[in-house]
Amino acid sequence: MRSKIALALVGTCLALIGAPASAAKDAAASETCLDCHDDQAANMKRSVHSVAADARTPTCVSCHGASEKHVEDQDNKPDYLYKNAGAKDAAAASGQCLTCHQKNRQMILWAGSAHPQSGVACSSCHQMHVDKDKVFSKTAQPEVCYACHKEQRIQVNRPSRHPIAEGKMTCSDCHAVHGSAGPKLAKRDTVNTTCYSCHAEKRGPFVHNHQPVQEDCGTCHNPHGSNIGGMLNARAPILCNQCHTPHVAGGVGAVGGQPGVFPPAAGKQTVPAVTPLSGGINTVNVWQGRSCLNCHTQIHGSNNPARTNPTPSYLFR
Amino acid sequence: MTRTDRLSVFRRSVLALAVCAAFAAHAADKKEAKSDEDDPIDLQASVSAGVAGVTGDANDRAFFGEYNGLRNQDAYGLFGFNYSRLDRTTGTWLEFVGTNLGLQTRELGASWRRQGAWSLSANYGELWRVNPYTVNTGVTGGGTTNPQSSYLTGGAGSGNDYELSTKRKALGLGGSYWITPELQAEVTWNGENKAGATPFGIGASCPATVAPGCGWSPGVSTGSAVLFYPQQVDSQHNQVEARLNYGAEALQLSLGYYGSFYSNDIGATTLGVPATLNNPVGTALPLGPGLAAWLTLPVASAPDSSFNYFDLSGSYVFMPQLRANFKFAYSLAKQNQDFAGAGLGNAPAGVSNLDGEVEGTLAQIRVVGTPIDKLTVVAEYRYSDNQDNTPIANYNVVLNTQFTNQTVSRTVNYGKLEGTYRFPWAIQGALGIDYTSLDRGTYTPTASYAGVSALREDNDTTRWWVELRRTLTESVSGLIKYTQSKQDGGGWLAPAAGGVGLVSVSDPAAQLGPNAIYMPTIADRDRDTVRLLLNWAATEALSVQFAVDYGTDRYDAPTQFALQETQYQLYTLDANYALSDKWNFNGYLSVGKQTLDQSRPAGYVLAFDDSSFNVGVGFNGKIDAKWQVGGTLSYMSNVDTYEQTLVANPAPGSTELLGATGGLPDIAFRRTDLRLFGNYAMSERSALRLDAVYQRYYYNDWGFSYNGTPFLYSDNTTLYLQPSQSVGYLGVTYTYAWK
Repeated sequence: MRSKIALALVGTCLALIGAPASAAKDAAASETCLDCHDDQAANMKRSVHSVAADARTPTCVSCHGASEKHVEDQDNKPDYLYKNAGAKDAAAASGQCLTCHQKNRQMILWAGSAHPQSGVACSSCHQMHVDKDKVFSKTAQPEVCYACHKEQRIQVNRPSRHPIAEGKMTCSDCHAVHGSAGPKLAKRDTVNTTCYSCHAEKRGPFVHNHQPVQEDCGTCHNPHGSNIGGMLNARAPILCNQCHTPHVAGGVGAVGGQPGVFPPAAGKQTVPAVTPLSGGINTVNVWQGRSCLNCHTQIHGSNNPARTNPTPSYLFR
Repeated sequence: MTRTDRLSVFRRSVLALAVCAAFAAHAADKKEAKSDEDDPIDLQASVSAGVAGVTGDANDRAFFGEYNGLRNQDAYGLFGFNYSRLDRTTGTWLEFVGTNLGLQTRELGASWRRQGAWSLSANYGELWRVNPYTVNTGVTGGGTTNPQSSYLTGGAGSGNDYELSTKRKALGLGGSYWITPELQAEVTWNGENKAGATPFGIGASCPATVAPGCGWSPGVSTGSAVLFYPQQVDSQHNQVEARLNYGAEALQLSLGYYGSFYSNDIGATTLGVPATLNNPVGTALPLGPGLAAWLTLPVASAPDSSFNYFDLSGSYVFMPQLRANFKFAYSLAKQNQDFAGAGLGNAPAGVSNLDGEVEGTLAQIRVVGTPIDKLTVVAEYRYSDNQDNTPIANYNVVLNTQFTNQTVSRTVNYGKLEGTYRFPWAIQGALGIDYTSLDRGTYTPTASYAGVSALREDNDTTRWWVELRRTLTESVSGLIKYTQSKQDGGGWLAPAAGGVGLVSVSDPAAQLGPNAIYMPTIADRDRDTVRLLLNWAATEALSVQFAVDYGTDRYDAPTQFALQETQYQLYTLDANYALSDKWNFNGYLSVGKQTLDQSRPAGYVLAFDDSSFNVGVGFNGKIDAKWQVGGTLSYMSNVDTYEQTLVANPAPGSTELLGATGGLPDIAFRRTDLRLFGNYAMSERSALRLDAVYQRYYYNDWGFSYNGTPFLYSDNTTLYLQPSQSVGYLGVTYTYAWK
C-alpha cells in the first residue's frame, strides 16, 4: 500500500516538475506491477531505489520494461528479467542499469573491462529487491565474489592473510570491480600503488631499492593469503633463490631437530651440517627463523646511506 | 493494612499496570500503524549489548584471535548500535552505526546525505593485529629505538614472553555535492595512525676467521650472530582524494587528485648487544672482534614519503554501437627524509637526503564497438611510464670500490584486441590477444649488481585466449577458456668484473657458466591456463556449480637452475538447495594442488607440492516466526612437501646430510571451523541472539621449531606458535529495536 502511495507520489512529482510525460506514464504503469508483486516492493522499501524524493529514482518499468504482454498474461515473461530462466544476457541486462548508472564515475571504465568481458552483469553481484545490497557489507561481499573466484575463497582462510573474514577488509578495498586502468582490476593504476594505500612504508624510493619490490609486490606476495608467513608465494630461501645466486654454504636444505644437522653426526656423516667451526651462513640460519631475512632484514629496501661495511646495499640494515 | 493485604494490593496494582501497559501498547501500535502509512519519517534504530566467553588461553587463540580482538581475555563485552532515519519527503538519510564497541576492533560511522544532492560522512575504525607467534626473549626496550639484547643464561624459554602486535586507528571524513544534476564534487580524507611492534632483527656473519674488522677464533669467540628485536612502529598515513565528476548522457568525465603522505616517527633503530652470544651450535662465547660493531650499527626505518596523483578519466558514447573510455594520469612520488635527522650517518659527502623522486605518467584508451550484429570488439592501449629521477651518489663502498645507488625505472606498453561473437543457442565465443612490452631502461652503470647472475632490460609478453560461453541464464550454462602466453626479452646482462655496472652477454650459457640463475620474472616463460565452469540449475530449488582451473608455467633458461616449472590445478563443486522459502542449504568441495620445481647449484632439486582439500556446508532457516537459525561447518587441509634430490655435483656433505635427514619435513595446516547462530524474536522490538563458534587449528611450520628443537637466536630468544590450537566462543547479545 505504501509502495503504491510512493509510486503515486513519484508520478505526481514528475508531473509537477514538468518531467517528460513518459516518466509519469512509467510511474503509473508501475502501479500495476504492485497488484501482484507488492512483496518485492516491501522488501526494498528502504532501498535507495525506493526514495521517491530523488528525481533519479526508477520505477518498476524503468528496469523491467513496460512488459505489457506480461501484464496481459502472467505466462509471458517481463521485458527484462535478470535472473533465472528468461533472463537477458549480461550485456543487455547491464545496459538497463547503465541507462542511469553510466553517469556514475565508478562506471567510466566499465565498458570493455574484465567483468563485462567475462559475461558478468550488474545483477550477477548486486541485489535490487532488498533494503541492503550485501555487496555493500564488508562481511558479506566476499561471498558474492567467491561465486566465481573459487581460488580466493580458499586462500583467504590460510594462516597468513588479510583480515577479510573479520570484515575489516573486503575485495573492493583492493579491486575496482567496475573497471580499472590497472592490471587485475587494481583499485589504483598499479598493484603497488594499491598496496601502498595501506602499506605506504614500502613505497620509498629508498637509497637501496630492491627492484622486484618496486616493480610488483605480487612478485613475492600473494595478497589473498598463503601458508607462509608474510603472505609469500614461496618460503625463503626458495623464493629468494629464484632470482639470487645462493650462498655457497647450504647445499641441501635441512633444519634443526633433524638428525645430522647439529652434532652428533648421523648416518654416513663424518661431521654434522653445523659444527663449532661453521659460520653464520649455515643450513639452519638459511632455512629457519626468518631465513634470508635473518641478515637481509630490509628486504623491501633500505634508506640507510652509510658507506661503512657491511654495506646496506645488501639490505642488511 | 497487613503484609498480606499490602502484597495483595501490590499484586492487583501490578496486574492493573500490566493491563494498562498492554492496552497502551496496543493503542500505540494502532496509532503507529495508522501513522506509519502517512509518516514520511522512516526510522529504524537498535541497540545491542551482550557478553562473550572464549575458551583456552592466548596460545590456543593465536590464529582465532589474530584480527578479531579476542586473543588475550576470556570474556568480552559486545556492544553495538544502529540508527537509520530516512525522511522520504526530502530523500535525506541520517545514519549512525557502531560495531564491536567493547573490543579493540571497534568501528563507528556516521553519514548524513540527501540522495542526488549532497552527503557528509565520518568514520572511525580500529584494526588490531596480534602476531600469532609469541616471543620469549631477554630483549628489553622492545618497541623503542634502542632495544637491548640480553643473553638468556637459562637457555631457551627462560626469558620474558613478548606479544607482537600493531594497532591501526583510522579516522575518515568525506563529502560530496551535486552542483548540477550532471556535476558532482567529492572529497575524502583518511588519517591513520599505526603503532606497535613487528618482528625484526639483525644478523651478520664475518666473512672469514681473519676478515679485516671482523673475524673470530673458533672455540674462543663467535663471528656470526642472528638476533631478534621487536621493531617499533609509530607512523601516520594521511590520504586525501578530491574529484570533480561530470555525467551526461553520452559523455562522462572525472577529474581527480589523490595525495598520500606517510610519516614515520621512527628514523632508525640501534640494538644493544651483550658481550656473549651463541655460536652456531649454541655454545655461549664472547663476540668476535668487529662483530659487535656490525651488530650495533643503526638499522634504517621506512622513511617519510609522499605521493601526489592527478588523473582525468572519461567515457564517451559515440553511438549505441561505439563507445570509448580513457584515463590519463600523472604522479609524483618523493622521498627526502633527512639522514641525520633519522639518526643515520656516514652518508656521502654533501648529501643530506636521498631527494628521491619517481615521476609517473599513464595513458589508457579503450574502444568498444559492435561493427556488425552480434560481434563486439574491444581494442585497448595503455602506456605507463615510471621514471626514477633520484640523484645518484656514492652510497656504497666495498673495500676500495665505490658504487652508487641504483635507480629503478620502467615503461610499459600494453595493447589488447578481443572479439566476442554471439552464436545461436545462447553460445558466446571470444578470441583475444594482448601484448605487453616492459622496458626497464638502462640499468644504472655505476651501481653494483652483486648477488644476481643475469638481468634483462626489457621483456615482452604475448598472450592469446579463446573462450566459449553459454550465457549463464539457462538451466545448464558455463564456459571454457584457454589462455596461452609467452614471455621473452632482450639480451642478457651480467655483473661486470670488478662489481660495478653490467656488461652485455651474447652467449649466457657459455659466458655465465652452468650455475647461473635466471630470474622467473625476466626469463623466457610459456604459460598455459584452462578454466572450465559449469552451472546447472537442476530444479528451481537446486543449483550446482562445477569449476576446474589449471595452469602451468615452464621456464626456458640457459641453465637448469632456479625456477623450472610450476603447475596449478583446482577442482571445485558448489551446491545450493532451497528446501523451502524458509530453509536453505549449501555446500562446497575444493581439491587443489600446486607444484613448483626448482633447483640450486651444488645443492638440490626441489619438487615442492602443496595439496589442499577444502569442504564446507551451511544452512540457514526459520523454525517459526520467532526462531531463526543458521550455521556453517568447514574443514581445510593444506600439506606442503619439500622433496629434495641431489644435483649432479652436490656440495660436500650434502649427500650424507640428505641421507641423514630424509630431506625437509612436510608442513601441514588444518583448520576446522564450526559456527552456529540462533536468533529469537522476543517481541516485535527485541531479540536475543546466540553465537557459538568452535575452531581447531593444526600448523607445524618448522620455521621456528622442529621436533622439539627451537630455532635459537644467538641470545637464546625463541618464537613459539602452539601447533595444535582449539578455541570455543559463545556470545549472547540482546538487541532492542525501534521502528
